[in-house]
Formats: sequence, C-alpha cells, structure tokens
Amino acid sequence: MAIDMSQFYQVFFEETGEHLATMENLLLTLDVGNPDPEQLNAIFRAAHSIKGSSGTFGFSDLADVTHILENLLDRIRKGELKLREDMIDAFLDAGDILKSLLAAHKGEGAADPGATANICARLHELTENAAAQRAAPATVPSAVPVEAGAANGQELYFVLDGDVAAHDRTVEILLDELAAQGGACVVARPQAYDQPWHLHLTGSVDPDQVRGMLEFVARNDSIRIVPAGEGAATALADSPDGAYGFFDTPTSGQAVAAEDDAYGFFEPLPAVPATGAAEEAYGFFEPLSAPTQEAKASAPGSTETA
Amino acid sequence: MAKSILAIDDSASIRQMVGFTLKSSGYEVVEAVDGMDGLEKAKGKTFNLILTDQNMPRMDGLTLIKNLRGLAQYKTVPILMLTTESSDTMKQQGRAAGATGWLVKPFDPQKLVEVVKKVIG
Repeated sequence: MAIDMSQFYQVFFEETGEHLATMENLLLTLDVGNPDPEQLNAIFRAAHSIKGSSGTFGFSDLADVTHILENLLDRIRKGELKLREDMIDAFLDAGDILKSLLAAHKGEGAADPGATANICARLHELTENAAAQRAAPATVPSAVPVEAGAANGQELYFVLDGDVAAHDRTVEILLDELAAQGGACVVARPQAYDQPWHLHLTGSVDPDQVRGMLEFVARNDSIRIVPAGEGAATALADSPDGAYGFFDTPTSGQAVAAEDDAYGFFEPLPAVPATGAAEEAYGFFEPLSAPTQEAKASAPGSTETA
Repeated sequence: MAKSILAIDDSASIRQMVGFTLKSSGYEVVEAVDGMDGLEKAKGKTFNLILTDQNMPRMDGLTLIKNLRGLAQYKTVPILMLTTESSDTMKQQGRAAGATGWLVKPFDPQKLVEVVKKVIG
C-alpha cells in the first residue's frame, strides 16, 4: 500500500508556520538572565515538533536545521548550558531561515543553501563554545572510564545526519580520531541513509568521548555503545538499526522484531489472533501489570463498535 | 469488526498521516491531541492499541502510559511510543512506564502498518 505523503503537506505547512510564529514570540519575550523554564520548554517543543514532522514528510533541510537547534535548546532547558544574548539572536535568525525553507517548499520563493549552512554552522559553534567554556575549569586528565566488558572492545552504533554523500568522509574522520584511542573498524555500513553505522572499537575508548565526537554529526539519540559481543539488541529486543524495538523477544519466533530496527517491543508479544478477538488481553507485561486473567476479569466488556 | 486504535500526537500532520494510513489498512482510528486528551478518550472506550507521541504539551507520553496502566481496562492493551528519542534511557523509561514498544520518528506509513500488524494483527 503506497500512501501519497503530499496529501499531508498542507497541514504540515500550517502547523510548522504556527510553531515558527510561537517560537519567535517566545524568544522575543524571553528573559536572557532568568529564562522561564516553561517558555524554554515551549520553544524546545516547537523545534522538536518541526523536526519530527519535517523528517516524516521528507523535508530534510528543515529537519537538519531544527535538529541542531533542538540540541542546543535541549541543553539550555536542562541547565547544561547558560542562555546568552547571541544565542537568542541565532535562534531568531534560524527561525527566519526555517520560514524561508518552508516558503520554498510551498512554492513561494527559493531557499538559500548558503544561508542555511551558515546558520547550522553558527548553531554548532554556539553549542561547542558554550560547552567548552562550561567544561574548561574541569578539564583535568584522568583515568578513562571504561564500561564493563570494554576489555574486549565495544560496539558503536549511530545514524548519521546531513548529506549522505558526506557520510563516508565523516566516518573516515571519526576513524582517524578513534585511532588515537586504540582504533576502530567499520563492521557494517547502513543499507539506507537512516540506518545505523556499526563500528567495533578496540582498546579502552571512552564512550563519553565518542559520544562527543558524534554529537554534531549523528542523529539525536541514535548513538549506542555496548560492550563487544552483546550487540545492539540484547537487553532490549530492538532491531539492528535502532529504529524500533520491543521490550522482549516476540513470541512469534523471530529473535529480533524487525529487519531494520525502526521499532521495538519491550515484552514478548502474543501470537496475533487469526481473526477478531481484538479485545483479548495480551500477556506481555508480567512485571508491570496485574495477571492477565485478573485483568480480563476486571476489564469492562469491549466497547468496540466498528 | 475493525480493531480500534487511539493515536495521540500533538502534531496535526502526523495525526493526519497516522490516521489515514491506519484507516486505509482497515483499522478504526480515534485521534487525540495530547496526553490529557488521549487519557480522556481512552476512558470512554477500550481500544485494541494505543500509539502515543512522547513530547507533548499538558501531558507527555510517559505520563499518559503510567496513567493508562493504572486503569483496569488498559492493564494489558498494547501501547507503543512514537518517539524521536531512541536512547536506551528513553527505552528504559518507556518500559518502566508500561509501554509495549517503540517506533522511532520519522517513520514511513509502511513501517507503521508493519509494526501495528505485528502487535494486533
């Protein structure tokens, strides 16, 4: 079944326009010295929402800019970085760029790739500078923390952002950087742009440092580092690319819930009933809920009406 | 009889896409705009599956899941999180809240249907 995604564009354009207007209004009234956490959260949510839906509908330029914006906003709202006046200026400029990208997608004018690249670079720089300033007093060389099992190396998974054509070069640079820490090699390349790279890290590579290296090139929260041999799908039965997962192995027999890790389940799923019986209770929350029989007994009758 | 799904997301375009896709696949779909709205709608009818975004105003997905698991009729109904966050921390929080699994955004309609079929057929 092929779904024509363009039928959803109009709603996407409208809601993105609203999010951008909200973001601008909130930024203009934000107290730099003492920002209201609720306001910060609302600005973050607007950027987050634009990122999620623009990615879903294939507007990758909007997704790229909001991804960087969201990262910086997230760190500010969590108190990891201090809000500064030049950040607000950059956020407002980013909002203008996003408006122009949105207009271009609507067929109103053309986007300026140079300006888009510039704002991404500026947001990157702000994040790095602020993080460096914050970290500076504490930069004391110390024993590298090594995760359990790291003696045999570690497995690194991440999904790269940005231009696919540049991904190989990005990974080369990463491998060069990791060479200084004991080395790394590529185990598996992604089959599609949104699937993860899998690298094996040898030696005592510091996971935090690796995360730092990947922070601005990999997709938010796609970075996973596990002791060698455990693979990405041990504790949680998610699929190899991290895109989905279940909280335990589905009972249908397959070890991993799907081919590409776009989703996952946390507990064994029951065999799918061949027909009807949709109100049948499912018993895969053993640690979390009342016994299935009890739940069934206490549940009201199905109100399914369709 | 069509199986019923409650789809909760504060993004109207995502709701529209999810709703259209699942209805096209023969499911009955009710949409909710945030966790609070989702909780109210869930109380009015026992759905076969709940799909929820995480980051939403008023009530987020994790809070919604905890609330649903406190209701007798939702002790065992599958709940999937639709989330841009796929960190292990988020997964552990999801599991602890009582989620059945997760689906990472962005996802395409085919993937959504694939996952839903795995859960409720």
